[in-house]
Amino acid sequence: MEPDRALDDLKAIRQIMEHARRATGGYGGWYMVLWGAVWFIGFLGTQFLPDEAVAWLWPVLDVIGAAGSVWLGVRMGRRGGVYSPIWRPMLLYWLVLIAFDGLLVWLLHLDAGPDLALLVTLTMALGYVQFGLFTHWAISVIGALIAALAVGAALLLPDYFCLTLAILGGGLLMGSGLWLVRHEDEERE
Amino acid sequence: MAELNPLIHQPTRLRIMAALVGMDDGDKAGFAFLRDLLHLTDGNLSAHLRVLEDAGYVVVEKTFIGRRPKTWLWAAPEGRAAFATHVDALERIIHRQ
Repeated sequence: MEPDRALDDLKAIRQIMEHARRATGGYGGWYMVLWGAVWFIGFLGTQFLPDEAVAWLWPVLDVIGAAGSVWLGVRMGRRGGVYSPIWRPMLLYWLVLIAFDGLLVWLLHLDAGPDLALLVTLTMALGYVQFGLFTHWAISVIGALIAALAVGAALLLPDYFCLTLAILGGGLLMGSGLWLVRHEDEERE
Repeated sequence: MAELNPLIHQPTRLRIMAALVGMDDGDKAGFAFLRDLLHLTDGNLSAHLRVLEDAGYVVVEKTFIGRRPKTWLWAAPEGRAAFATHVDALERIIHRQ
């Protein structure tokens, strides 16, 4: 076989492998839009609504977020004619993280308030950082930004902690999620 | 020394294997997805898949989603190994230049 032909074959292989890889990715951005919206409504409500309403607000929003995540996961599993089993470990990963938070809340006897909000925010930020390591680097960067934002708001603006997280945290998640969706679409074209 | 695999060497089969090996472990490609990705006809893809399946390089799974038949395809471990050996052989040819 001539070296030129071998080179052509290798180029074709790389190109097709790249196309196949791109076709199997995606949907990370929609998760961020979904949970950004949950954060926005939840933290905005926490800032302005009475405690009795907030006690109902978060569980309802979490159920909506979880149901939406499962729906996205199933869609991701069957994206564009490619079945990917990755959504199951991803779902398990987030459930473990939520269980970890629940355990900490129980062990430390945390009530609803800034400490609990900070703990949940930092755990979720850690989740985004770890999740991004396996999916898209931008998700890790956003996780780190949210962690810095949460600590900064807790220290510098304690009275407006929830409002800051609603607008900047939720906004950052939704905005970067939409950016990621567009970026993923461009990569696939 | 790695040698060219005559079965994978055929251009269409080379592209089929590249697409299937290019997906993550555990991922499965739908028949229509692979056909469109490689710009092949149903008959052409089926014929080459049969050769690769007979060699144990590709797994073909026929299922139903509701009442609609669906064919899933993925590279078998033997297929991944054979493909890697073939790519090694191609790289050796280039470096021999």
